[in-house]
Amino acid sequence: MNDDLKLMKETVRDFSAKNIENIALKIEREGIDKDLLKKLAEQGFLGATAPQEYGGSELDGASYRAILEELSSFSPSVGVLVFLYNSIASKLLKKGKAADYLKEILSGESTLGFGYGEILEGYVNSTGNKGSDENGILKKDVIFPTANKFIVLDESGQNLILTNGKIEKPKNKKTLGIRGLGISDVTIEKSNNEKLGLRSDIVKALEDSSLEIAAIYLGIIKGALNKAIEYAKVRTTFDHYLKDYSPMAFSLSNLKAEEELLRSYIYESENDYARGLNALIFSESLSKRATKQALQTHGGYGYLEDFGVEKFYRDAMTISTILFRGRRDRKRLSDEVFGTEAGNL
Amino acid sequence: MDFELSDELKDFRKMVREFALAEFTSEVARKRDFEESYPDDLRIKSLQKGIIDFANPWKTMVAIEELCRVDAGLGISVTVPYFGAEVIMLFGNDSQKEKYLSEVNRGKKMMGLAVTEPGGGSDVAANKTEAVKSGNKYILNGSKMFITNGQIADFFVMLARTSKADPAKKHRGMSTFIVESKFKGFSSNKLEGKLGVRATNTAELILNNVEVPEENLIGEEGKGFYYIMTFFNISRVFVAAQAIGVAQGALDRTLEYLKNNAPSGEMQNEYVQFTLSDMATRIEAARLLMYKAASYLFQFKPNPTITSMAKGYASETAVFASEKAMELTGLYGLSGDLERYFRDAKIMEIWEGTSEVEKLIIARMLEKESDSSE
Repeated sequence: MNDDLKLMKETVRDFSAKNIENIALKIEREGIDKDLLKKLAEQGFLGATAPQEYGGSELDGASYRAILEELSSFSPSVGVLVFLYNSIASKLLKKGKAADYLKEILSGESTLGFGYGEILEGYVNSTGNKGSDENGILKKDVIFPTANKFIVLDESGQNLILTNGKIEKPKNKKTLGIRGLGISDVTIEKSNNEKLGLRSDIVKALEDSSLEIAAIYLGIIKGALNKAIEYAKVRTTFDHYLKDYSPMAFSLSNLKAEEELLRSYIYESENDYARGLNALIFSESLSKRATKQALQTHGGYGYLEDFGVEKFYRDAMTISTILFRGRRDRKRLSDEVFGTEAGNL
Repeated sequence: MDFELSDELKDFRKMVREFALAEFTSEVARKRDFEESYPDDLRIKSLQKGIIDFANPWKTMVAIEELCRVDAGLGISVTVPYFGAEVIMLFGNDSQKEKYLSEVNRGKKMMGLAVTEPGGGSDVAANKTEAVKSGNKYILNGSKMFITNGQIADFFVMLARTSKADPAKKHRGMSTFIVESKFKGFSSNKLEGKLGVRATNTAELILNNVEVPEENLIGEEGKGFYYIMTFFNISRVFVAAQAIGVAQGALDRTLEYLKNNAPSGEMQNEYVQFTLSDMATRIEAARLLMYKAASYLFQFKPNPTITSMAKGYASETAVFASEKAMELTGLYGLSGDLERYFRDAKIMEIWEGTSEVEKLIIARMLEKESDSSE
């Protein structure tokens, strides 16, 4: 890791320690607020890789991944937001009013939500006029439903549009993870849409972002394991520190070793589709194992939100559902490994 | 060797399942989970319907599994008002049983078990709560952590130290008491923000010079640790039932999705099929272990090795199955009811002795048993 990258990581870490750590629980309960968005924008994190003319920082890939890793180690929700803005929105909001809107979101003035369910699953998951007023369409499972505008599929199911919308307050339900953004239904306006491109554009953007998603997982792994390691040093049971027991020490240090290998791999890879997939598949599995062990290390306290460790357990699973696309990504890796179509049956 | 439940138990299982499906609707489960509120209405209903029959432990075990299969938060909530009753049943005297247990059995009162302390966890012998004899009563000081029913129970079976800890034999010198929540100096703080089983009530208890009459001492002074360990040998079988319920419910809902809501052909994919087979196999293995542990226990020949195996393996199975269920159902699981199983399952590896403690018990018993075997 070169000095520039080290400095970048340190900068993001200092920023997060100062601006995220103290409100991490509030982010989980109430969502990411405007104040934090502004600060993220001022630091240039919100538009890490976006063109400067839209207020972006045009950073290189490794610096961008460093931002994703460090932010996610404090709040995975913040990491996912930065990812969605840079890896998805910046690639789609390129012309006319859409480009103006990109400027607004990258400055933290406005916000952007994503009708990810139907976009990723590939079918229109909306309910027409049912349950909404005549000008609106209810879209299910939108990420960041409190946003001002949304990227969703149009009625054909093929085109992406930028549109206004309003959250349908979820009844008695919090999302499993990324609670800083939330996932809920949104009623979007039928008119006043900006065409952005094809559904396949977003799928491609996502499939080209394996290393970045792996960087989010890496942050989750780091955040969870570091908490567990610190706790194991101070918590005693049966007259000894947790760290002194071999199963606990071996398990946490093995996971930490895997984390280190993943980190080297992520920062040494660039624009390599196959390496990206390797990192994605490995980091997804590691994030689940590491967050589970981190929670278990904390015992009953780990089960309470105040200790800030259960959120990693929830977020690892949630991100694996929305960004890592399970079997589809495993199949992509199989195709790469076999050099031909594989794993369809 | 017969692996079938009796016809009576099979009918009972069916009745409980029907009750759970009718009462534990998605709407009710979500509301209680969201609000972190205890479903007292369901507690009363389950009692009226005869779902709870503490005179019959097999029925209790089956009921816990079937209720948690539909929803763990609600299932545990309706079966936990009696938590700790076995300590009084086994070691209490007749007047204690009459005064306290009969009202619990009639549903008039709720009880709880107060053993765990802040920073104590599974290390029960490290407990610090003190009970000092003064005339014809004991004065209790200290605090208890993660106590189920902590805010809603009328009384608790509570473990406290009655003589100074001998560093070499810390499990000695502890006693169990019946402590009423209305005793002066008793207070509780609800613990909020649990990952799962959020319908259950959990609290921290504070004891500030609580005067407990000497007739509320359960059994003999100094034997509390053994009473509690005996109790855990019983309750761990019931936690295994909770865990198997969660695992089975996760499998049920995954199958329901694959058959009715998934894109066509999903069920024919071998990756999906192999995952389902793994889930079902582990659930069946966990259930057989639980039946074996129960069979020993309910014939008054408890086998701590098998009990810890059953509890530990069933808990791991609950976590495994709920994780796989999330992976197979994707968005459907995330925005539906399955994500609750994923959150609920994790507590199974923590409470009633963590998985680590179960493994320690198994290893110690193996060592002991190998000494005595030919």
